[in-house]
Amino acid sequence: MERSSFTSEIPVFEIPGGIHPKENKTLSNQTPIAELPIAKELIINLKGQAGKRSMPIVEAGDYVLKGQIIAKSDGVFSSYQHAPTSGTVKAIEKRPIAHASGLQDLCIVIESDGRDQWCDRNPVSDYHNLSREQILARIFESGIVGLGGASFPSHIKLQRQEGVNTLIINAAECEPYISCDDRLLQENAKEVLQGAQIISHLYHDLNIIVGIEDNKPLAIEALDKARKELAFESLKIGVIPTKYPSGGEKQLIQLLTSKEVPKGKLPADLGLIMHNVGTCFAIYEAILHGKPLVERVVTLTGNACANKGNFKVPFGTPFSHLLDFCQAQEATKIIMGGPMMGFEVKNFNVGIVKATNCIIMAGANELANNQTELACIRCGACMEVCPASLLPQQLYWYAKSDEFDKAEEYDLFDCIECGACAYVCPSNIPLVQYYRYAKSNIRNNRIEKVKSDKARQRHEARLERLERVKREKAERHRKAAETRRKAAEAAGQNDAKKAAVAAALARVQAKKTQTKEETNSSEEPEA
Amino acid sequence: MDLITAVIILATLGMIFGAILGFAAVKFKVKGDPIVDQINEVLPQTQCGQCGYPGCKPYAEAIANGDEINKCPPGGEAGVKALADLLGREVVPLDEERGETKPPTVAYIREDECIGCTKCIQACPVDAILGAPKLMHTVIIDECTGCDLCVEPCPVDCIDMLEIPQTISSWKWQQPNMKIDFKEVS
Repeated sequence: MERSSFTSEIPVFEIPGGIHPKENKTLSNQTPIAELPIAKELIINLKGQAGKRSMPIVEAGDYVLKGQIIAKSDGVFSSYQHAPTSGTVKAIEKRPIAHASGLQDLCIVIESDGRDQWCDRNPVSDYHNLSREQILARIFESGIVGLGGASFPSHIKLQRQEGVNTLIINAAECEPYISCDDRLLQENAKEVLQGAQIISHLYHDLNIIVGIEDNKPLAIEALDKARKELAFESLKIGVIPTKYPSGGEKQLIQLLTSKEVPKGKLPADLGLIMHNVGTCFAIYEAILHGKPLVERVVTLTGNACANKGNFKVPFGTPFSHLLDFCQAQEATKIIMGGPMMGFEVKNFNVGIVKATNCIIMAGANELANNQTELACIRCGACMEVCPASLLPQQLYWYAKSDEFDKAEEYDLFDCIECGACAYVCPSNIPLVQYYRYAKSNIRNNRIEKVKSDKARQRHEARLERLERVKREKAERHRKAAETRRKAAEAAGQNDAKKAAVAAALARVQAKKTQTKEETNSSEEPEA
Repeated sequence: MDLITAVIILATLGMIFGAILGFAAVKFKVKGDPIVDQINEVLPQTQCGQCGYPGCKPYAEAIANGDEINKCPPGGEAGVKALADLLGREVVPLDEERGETKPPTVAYIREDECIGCTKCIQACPVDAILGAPKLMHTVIIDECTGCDLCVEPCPVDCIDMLEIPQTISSWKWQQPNMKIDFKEVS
């Protein structure tokens, strides 16, 4: 593939490991970003990849316009959702979602009316007049999340201000097949940079670096041109050699600054923030055009795809609609995301989500991974390619034998699940799946531990309460007995005994008369 | 002379170190039996009593005193393994007489049928049931450990133990299966 001759404007460092898989980007990056006919039914999943579920604020039967808010954030760790087109809310129900589990979750189903009519928008011509809080609120209410793949809510990432001095725009797009960021830069570099300027304004001017792989010469040219048009000379373009996984957050930071993000720390602790190209574009659209995030550029590619290219696809568009458009009947496998980190989608009635950057419709013998898993021969190839300098083989043994605490000791949670180890494994061991298995079990165990701690506390509190009640009861009885004894002493012993007998007799008498009356009253109706 | 000096020095040293050890023994005295707490940490805190003891803590005490480690069905095989690791004992299969490991459940009261007798409230080891005499009761799902103890005392049988449905957040990746093509040997 063609390499850019542009020399990096900042020194580029190295990362450990990495691989050079076949790039396959030219399949999809030759044509401009196009639009698709809108699907009849859009299925919008209320739970993003990261974060909690948003809360729907529309009801079945409501008519919604494009861009209208249909679900609100719970205020903590979720994002807003907007109607991706105009139409009627058909249902709010559980539907299968685009997730590796294939499970169902709450979705808003919108039947489009085909008019694609926008709601009233509220663009800002000069964001310099807005305060930091106002801009952040707009980003929050526009439902913007990281479009690189993790869909982490952007307003949370932008919250922390102190110590941040550099913004890195992630344009590396290192995973094979995917070309949506490449195309977006070629066509909208100016808008992307304006988005970056808005972010920079939030922090009262940051150093801005674009990190981009040298396999995107046209995008680099476009960036250079846009920079001149905007008179944005402080922007630095860092061109890095093409290697997977250079686009990982920690990896790109290391490449451009030689700093490593320490375990348990965030890039912000090093004074850095990183946002994806698509996110910058979305921020630009949200502030300067008042457009919330309702669509994204998706790469449709693979040997079984007849209409390869990049398309603006509204969220919630069912996979089946895209597969029909691409005439992908021959596809042996449909993958959401890239070939390295994506997962297979088996139910095509799921809608695309904010994290859907690419859909690969694999033809026969493309991305075949049906080879038999063989025994590990301890060759160590995985260790050489690990970008996080972990010991993948060791992690594999521990994950396989359920020794999760050992796996944690060997820094399992520093694994970015890039799949480089599995790619080079001569025994075809699906290593990443072992790590995911171990990680999800460890997470689950932590939740269980919290739950069992709570149960123990509640049980102990209960035992204590029962004990206390028992003690108090005994105390009461003792006191009552004492008062009785005292009263008896005061009245003289004989009288007290007589009085007690008389009282008991009176009680018996009263009971007798009561039962008599009851039997009388029950007999009355018959008489 | 040298001999006497040596003896004196050693004796002094002995006294100093003895004093330090004595002080440390008083200062850093461990209260209670830490092993019981450690065992209790490992037990699932269901408080179901399937082990034959009235709760997890009493069973932890019994284990510390030498009882078998395989009497806790909610903890499952993983629980036995964790206990074996902690105590340096052999991993033994679960005692089947104590019941089998079931998927996690929560109690659910069919509220229309509840007569408000409070019997289940008294049975619940973690106070996860709300209600008052002659008023409807209900289970606080997040607090319920799924111990089954409320089912038996209910005079109208209106409590069901429901399996907790799998959601996206509780879903776990499966371990890949080792696929080995065995050739049939005749």
